[in-house]
Amino acid sequence: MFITYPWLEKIIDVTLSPAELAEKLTMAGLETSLVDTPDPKAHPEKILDVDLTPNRADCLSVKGIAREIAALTGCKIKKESFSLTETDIPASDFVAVSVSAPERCPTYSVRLIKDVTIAPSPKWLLELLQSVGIRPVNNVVDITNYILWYEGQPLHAFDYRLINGKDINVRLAKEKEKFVTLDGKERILSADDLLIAGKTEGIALAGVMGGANTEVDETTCDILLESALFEPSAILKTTRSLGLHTESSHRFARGVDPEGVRLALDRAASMISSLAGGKVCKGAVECTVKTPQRGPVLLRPERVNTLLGTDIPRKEIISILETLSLIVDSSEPTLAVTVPSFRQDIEREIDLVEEVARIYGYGNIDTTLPTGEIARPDHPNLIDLSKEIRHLLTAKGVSEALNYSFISSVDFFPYFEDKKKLPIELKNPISNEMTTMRQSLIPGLLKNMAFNQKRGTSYLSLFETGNIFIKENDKIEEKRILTIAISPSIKKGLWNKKKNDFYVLKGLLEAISEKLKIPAPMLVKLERSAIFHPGKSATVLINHRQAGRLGELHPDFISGYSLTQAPLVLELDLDLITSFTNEKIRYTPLSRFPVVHRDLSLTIDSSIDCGTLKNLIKERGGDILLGVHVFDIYEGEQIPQGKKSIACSVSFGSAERTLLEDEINSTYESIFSYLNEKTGSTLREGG
Amino acid sequence: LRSISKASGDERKLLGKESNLLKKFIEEKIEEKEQKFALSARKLRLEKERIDITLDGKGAGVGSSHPVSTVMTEVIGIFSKMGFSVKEGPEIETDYYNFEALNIPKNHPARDMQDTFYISEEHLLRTHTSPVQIHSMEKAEPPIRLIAPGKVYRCDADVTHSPMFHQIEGFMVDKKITFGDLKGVLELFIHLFFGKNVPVRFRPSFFPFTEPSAEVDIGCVMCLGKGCRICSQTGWLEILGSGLIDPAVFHSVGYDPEVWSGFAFGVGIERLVMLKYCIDDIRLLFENDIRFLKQF
Repeated sequence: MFITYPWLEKIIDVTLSPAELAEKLTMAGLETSLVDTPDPKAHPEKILDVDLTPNRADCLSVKGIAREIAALTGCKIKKESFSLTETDIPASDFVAVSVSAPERCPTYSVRLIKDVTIAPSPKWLLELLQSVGIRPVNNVVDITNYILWYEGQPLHAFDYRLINGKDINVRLAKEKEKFVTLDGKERILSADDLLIAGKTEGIALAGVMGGANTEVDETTCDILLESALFEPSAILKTTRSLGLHTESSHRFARGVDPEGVRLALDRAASMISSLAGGKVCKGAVECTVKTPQRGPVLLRPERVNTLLGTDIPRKEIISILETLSLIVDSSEPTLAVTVPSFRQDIEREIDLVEEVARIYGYGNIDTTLPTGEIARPDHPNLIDLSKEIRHLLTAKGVSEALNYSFISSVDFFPYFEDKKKLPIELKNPISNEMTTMRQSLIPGLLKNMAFNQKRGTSYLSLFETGNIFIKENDKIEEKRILTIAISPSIKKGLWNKKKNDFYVLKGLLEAISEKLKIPAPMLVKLERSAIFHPGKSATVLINHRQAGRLGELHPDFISGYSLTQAPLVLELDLDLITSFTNEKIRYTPLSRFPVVHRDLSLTIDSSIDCGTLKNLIKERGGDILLGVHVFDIYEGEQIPQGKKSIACSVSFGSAERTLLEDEINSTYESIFSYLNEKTGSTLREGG
Repeated sequence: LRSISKASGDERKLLGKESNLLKKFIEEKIEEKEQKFALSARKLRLEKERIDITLDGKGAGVGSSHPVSTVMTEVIGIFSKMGFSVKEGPEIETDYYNFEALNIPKNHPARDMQDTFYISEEHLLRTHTSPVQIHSMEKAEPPIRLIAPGKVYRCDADVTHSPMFHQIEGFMVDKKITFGDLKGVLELFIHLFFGKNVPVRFRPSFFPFTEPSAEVDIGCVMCLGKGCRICSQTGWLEILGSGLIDPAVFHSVGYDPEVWSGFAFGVGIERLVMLKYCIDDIRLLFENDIRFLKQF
């Protein structure tokens, strides 16, 4: 709400400077800043820009703000009056008003002013309007805008002769009824929109904008002036559905003063008469629904102090309320406060507590610290888990990324590519690239990699934790997942020459499971994926449940992301991981007996994977086998085609006794022959 | 020594003794020399073994935590230490839990304060984490102290606004909570996060779910109150929204406002991040340029 000193001076003697005034209003809840006029050289004075909260509809006018200023500063409100001369001819001879939807329009009143001369407004009026950004039109329209700004009551002027018939009806529009507003645009209305209508067609979109068909211009002679009250939430709904917001609709949506409707009408009629030379017909024609008077709001003064933590004396509380124009009956211990009609926002005791607090000054309320019982604070495991993972990954050189939860429909694919999981779309996305809620963090991370690649960094390790959003069987589910994406290439460096590969990623997975003390993950072949490379990827199982996937990405999938190399990706279901972290650690006593290591070098078929080999060794090794550790794999020269050479270190030991040489040897032999039997492996020649 | 076998009895003894002494003498001298050579060989080796200590260390280097995560963790830590429980909630919510239970009816101008992303008539992306508050109050009896961190969504995008951002909203309900307590707790948070000397002021405002409501400002950390672009020349930066919980909210969760009182507050994490690290464009936080990420 813009306001200038010339406006204010019409109603209040302001003794403060603009800066002081802005400060006072801001600290009372009306955030005010000082703005330059469009031409600061010619007009160096400042405009006050009052940023109002939705509850202070009473301040959407110069009068309202002046009242606040008076309450805050003691500056005096000027006595104002105007004179209205009416002719003998009653307005009811020319117009009749009916309201078909009284719950939408509790008051509708009109006046008729005949024989006006439409002309530009006088200089003083033009300057006032322009100073707050209102575009002047002609004297009559300008007067309605002046009253809107000054009183806060929106008015509308119709060219009376352009109204078909003399009956005005306030009714709901018919579904799909067409109406051309003053801006020349045709609107398609719904049965929820309220129309001011003549006999055959609408003449104004109630509370929002007048119709082009009854516009006041230089040919107009007779003015039908409207001042009314419209139900706020319905006006708001209309403005939203039509995408049409005006100074009028803004005020009606927040609530105008019911007792200001008639005053504004009369004042405007008086101004039109003096500035445009019209003759005001006798009386206003109106249709009003009688609403019961609001009863007083009760306030217990001790409640003020209990809630605020203050010790404000009763007298001071009463005084504060009275400066706000509230009428206080203090005959009983509980105060009965009559709230003037312009403060529609004060309805309950708590609203009065707020008024006292803000006028008393929040700065004057002592700062204290609460006392209470110590309770058992809850802290979700997931938050601690995410923190640990974050620390672990950053220590291992992976940086954390943050991407939007919404992605384009082109990038979308369901969680783990399960087609039963359906996408959730936004009805009103902010852009075409952000229409669908993600079910994977991969698209975001790939975009990050492409972004950085373009800017010169093609080696990158990123991770992100966040929610994915799934619709399945009409239920919406959110899951927290972790995704790591690393580029195959690494930063050119002195020491590290090896590229990143599947095993680096697997190493991160193993580190995570070790650090979080969850059961070791098991990798199995990844079935059917369009995202991952079929030969270089795996499904992660923990305790036989699918916990994630990892591997190199499919070259076809990558092609859409302008990346030079296929990144390696690990996806983990953190909700599932969290469920495993409640295991308690229990110390296992250390063995006092020596452990013996023996190397086993084998030549074996290339197709047999190390996991299978280790399992066979463990099977035959029995109780005294503590572990198998592969330390070399060799394929190539000296090894027959289709075969590979594996060297592993096998550890033997017991917690109860020292093992005998014979035992170890015989087990070792047994393992070797078992392997030979099962896989046809042979001892590596030349060890 | 070889001549000892040719000598006679007494001579043998004498020769033997002399030769042994000589042998010992020679052996000692040899050992001495050997040690000397070993020492000088070692010395030579130490002088020759040189490395360039200015070369890079081995290892992958460290990655960075995202500044939003860091600040989130810090703020959660501050309130946890004050005994606040932490709770997360769904990002997709119903109109009821996001608005109506918080005293924001349909077709009310207060909804303009938060432009919403809709999924259907029933579901939307939450515009604040206050719904978690409601869920918690419905499930538990007071006294209760809780913060709800998480992602929130609003249709807004420019240099200081992002369609997705992070918030921590919190509340405290007990038998004698006052506005003074609200001031105390929030001031303490600000001093722990920004430093003891930062000026704090509370100014009246409006939120549908609190009454009286307050905006909490800190003295501009960029210009120290003198006035600059960041604080729009006012010298103050708005950090938190807060207020005593509106009785209407208590009614919707079944708490008796005559017995219980409480305050609620909310803070935007991206805002804190931008102020803490002097970042001027919120979009940088979602761009993930590694040169940006590595600065934190």
